[in-house]
Amino acid sequence: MTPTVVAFVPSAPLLVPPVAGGSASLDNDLRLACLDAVSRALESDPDEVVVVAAISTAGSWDDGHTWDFAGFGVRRRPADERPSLPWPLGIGAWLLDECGWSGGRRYVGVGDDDEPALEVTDRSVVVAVADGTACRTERAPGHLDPRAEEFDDAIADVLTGGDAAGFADIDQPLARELLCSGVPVWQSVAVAAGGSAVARAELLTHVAPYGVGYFVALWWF
Amino acid sequence: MAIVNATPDSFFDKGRTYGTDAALERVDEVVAAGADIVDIGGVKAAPGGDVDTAEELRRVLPVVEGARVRHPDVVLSVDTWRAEVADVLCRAGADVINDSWGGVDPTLADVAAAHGAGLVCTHAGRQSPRTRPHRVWYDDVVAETTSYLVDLAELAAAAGVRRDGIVIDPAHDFGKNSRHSLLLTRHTDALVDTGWPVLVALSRKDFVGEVLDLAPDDRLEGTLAATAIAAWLGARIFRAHDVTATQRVLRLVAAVRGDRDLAVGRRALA
Repeated sequence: MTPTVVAFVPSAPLLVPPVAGGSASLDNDLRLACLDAVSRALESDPDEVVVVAAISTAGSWDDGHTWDFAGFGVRRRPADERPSLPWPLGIGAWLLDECGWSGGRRYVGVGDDDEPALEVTDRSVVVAVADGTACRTERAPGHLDPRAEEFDDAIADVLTGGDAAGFADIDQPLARELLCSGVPVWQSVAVAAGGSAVARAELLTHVAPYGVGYFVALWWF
Repeated sequence: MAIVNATPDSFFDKGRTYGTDAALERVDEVVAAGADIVDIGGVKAAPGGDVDTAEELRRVLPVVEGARVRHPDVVLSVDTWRAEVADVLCRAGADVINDSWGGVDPTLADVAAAHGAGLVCTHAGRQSPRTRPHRVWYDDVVAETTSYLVDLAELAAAAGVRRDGIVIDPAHDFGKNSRHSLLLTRHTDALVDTGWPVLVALSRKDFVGEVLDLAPDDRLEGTLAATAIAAWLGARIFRAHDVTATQRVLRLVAAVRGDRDLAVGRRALA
């Protein structure tokens, strides 16, 4: 079955203000775009939200889990007793909390070496937490690679065009070279779409302020 | 431990001491300022143009040879992750190998053992040399760093490195975000408690810059504050760009700890 809406957001820890510390306000535009995308996806009044993100070992978690960024050296205040999600899923959980979502939710982590998979219903919203390359500038985590911008532009085209099949064409070895972590997430979305056409697609943001490609987009099916 | 960069592109000095003559002048200067150890490196830590073994030696070997002749008694350290480079430099008179990428080449310890050289064992978060950390996550950065360093030090000792020549370095900012570096500074005593002498390399690093929102040129005071804390908690060796300032801080901390007497004991005592 096909989800109702997919919201694509970056996997950047600095989206979460306590992680970004004193520089949080510098990324307000990006953060607001993410919140806008997730809020608009939730307007479809789904039965559940499925957060999908790339993690080292595939797994799934229920809504008894929550975000926590302690491994980045950030203590959650006030503390939350619930067990923690892997941090990339935690970014999706944080966005849902910020949007005031109190309905059902679950979390799916997909690994680089796993077959892309994502089970949804036609009453599901998907929050896809995924980034482009990390080689866009000399100060980027993976240093400057001149191929990175073109790669990210191609992803932006897929998102703008609602072209789910386009995710299948990603050059995976190149993606790995360019430290693009989002591929398994995007391909899982394509699997969930199951060949259904995207009725409307909107790319809200496509930026790389710190050398990592960030995309915020919405797909309605 | 004074930093001497035989590099055209290191983040702080940006080539000011590149070239054998400039590097040797810098060696003279830091020795005159009282550095006990001079750490000479030929490859900047950040990513950039490839520096192969031959180029690294071209940059560093004449500096080590020259420094050895000019300063027979100063401890000469070489900052390299390559065993092949370390071997040549130890033959040229280097006393210590500063393995600042943390055990990437396990044969580095064999080289240190063969030459009776010291070895700085470092925790760089298992990153490959010259890569930047990206969203690194530690369940407990202090515990992980400490246990990694103890293992590396024991491996070095087992490889035959003299035990009195082994030093551990948590490598602030290497494979870590700024909060990780702050945690390691706050818990320097956990490293000290291992019994291995602790080296800290704090000088003008990004964690100082991110606390204060300042560029490398303006990070001296922040560096010195972190230096004082690490010294108070028992660190023994301080890798630094600013030798005189660092020494003054360390003398003051030592005096407060009761490890050092006054240089002048006259006030209210005459």
